[in-house]
Amino acid sequence: MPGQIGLIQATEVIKLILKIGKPLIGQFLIYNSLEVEFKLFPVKKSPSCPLCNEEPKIKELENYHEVCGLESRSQAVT
Amino acid sequence: MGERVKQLFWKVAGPLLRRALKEKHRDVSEISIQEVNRLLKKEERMVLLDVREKEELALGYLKGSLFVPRAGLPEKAETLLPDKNIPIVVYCAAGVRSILAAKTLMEMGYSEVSSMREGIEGWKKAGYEVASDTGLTSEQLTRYSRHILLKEVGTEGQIRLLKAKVLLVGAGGLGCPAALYLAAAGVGTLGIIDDDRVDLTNLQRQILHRTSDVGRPKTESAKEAIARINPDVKVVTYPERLTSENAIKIFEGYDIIVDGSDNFPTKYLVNDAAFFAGKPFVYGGVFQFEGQASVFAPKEGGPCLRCLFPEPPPPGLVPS
Repeated sequence: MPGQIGLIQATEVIKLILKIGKPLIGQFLIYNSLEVEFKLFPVKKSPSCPLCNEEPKIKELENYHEVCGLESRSQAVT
Repeated sequence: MGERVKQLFWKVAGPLLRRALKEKHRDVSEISIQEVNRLLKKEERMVLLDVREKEELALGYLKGSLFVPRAGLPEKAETLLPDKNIPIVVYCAAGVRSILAAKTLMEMGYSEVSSMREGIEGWKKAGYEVASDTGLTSEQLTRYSRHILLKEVGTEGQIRLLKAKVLLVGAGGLGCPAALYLAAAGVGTLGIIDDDRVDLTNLQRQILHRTSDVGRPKTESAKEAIARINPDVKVVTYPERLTSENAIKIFEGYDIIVDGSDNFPTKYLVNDAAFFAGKPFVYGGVFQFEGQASVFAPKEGGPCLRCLFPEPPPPGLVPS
């Protein structure tokens, strides 16, 4: 399963470098391997994004592990 | 498109056709690549005539050749080659079209024409040098020839790939296959940051690492695996954890960031650091049988991860 996603990522990298095709910018892909479903959702810049809007709340990097409280690494996820 | 189909056709049917054509045109003499090489070394007086199409020249040619695509020969030969007794070696990609071109020249009255058997592909296979205007080496022209023949890539695109710098965050389930393909495609610099060591439970999906790598740093085994696939690739390893302190500094040295991390804190750190460094971030995530991917590039007008999910999920809600 991570193989397919990793290769989609690699393909996106190559498209970005070569500036060819339509990149996955503004689109979110969900792949369900058991159902063989590829779904593509359009996603937009959020005007209330805490990071990339014009008056961001986040002005520098935080301490991410404290924020999430997820210190342990999952072995199952990737 | 027509040309591409033709090239593919010649490649597949080449050897068979060459034999059949040779039967039909027994009067055309063939010369081996070794003999051509010997004559060139002796600086014998002769003309090398490349009869391939213009776009094929990107794959390299013999130094000092004249270029006339086969279809243009009847019209151009007499202007370019006024001396009909000069020895001419005609070549193409695989030695098929050159038989037909040699035949044409003979019918025009050229007396010492031969066709180079196996063409420039055979020449390269034999390890002889080819010239190129691209700055790519002979080996690179051959290694990336299937890219170079694609109109979307070409030599220009391949050079871009070779100059590109891509950082992989994590050499795990996502980073491994991504690294394999990026390395094979000739992405010139691959950075890999991972502080983990190879575990037996990783091997069922983390395909850069082998059984004998268990216990070794993932960055090390990844570097070796990449070198085996493509020695053109420069691998920069960071056997450390990505943190708020080192992230932006590392990201600044790369063109694109690929997220192969396995936890939310790192994904949000990658998102924010990529934003501050102004780099596109290729997101990927997998849970059991479902996967996700996107490209977050706020600089190009797209959203970032926080536009979709402003905050990381609270602890306890996330399957780990």
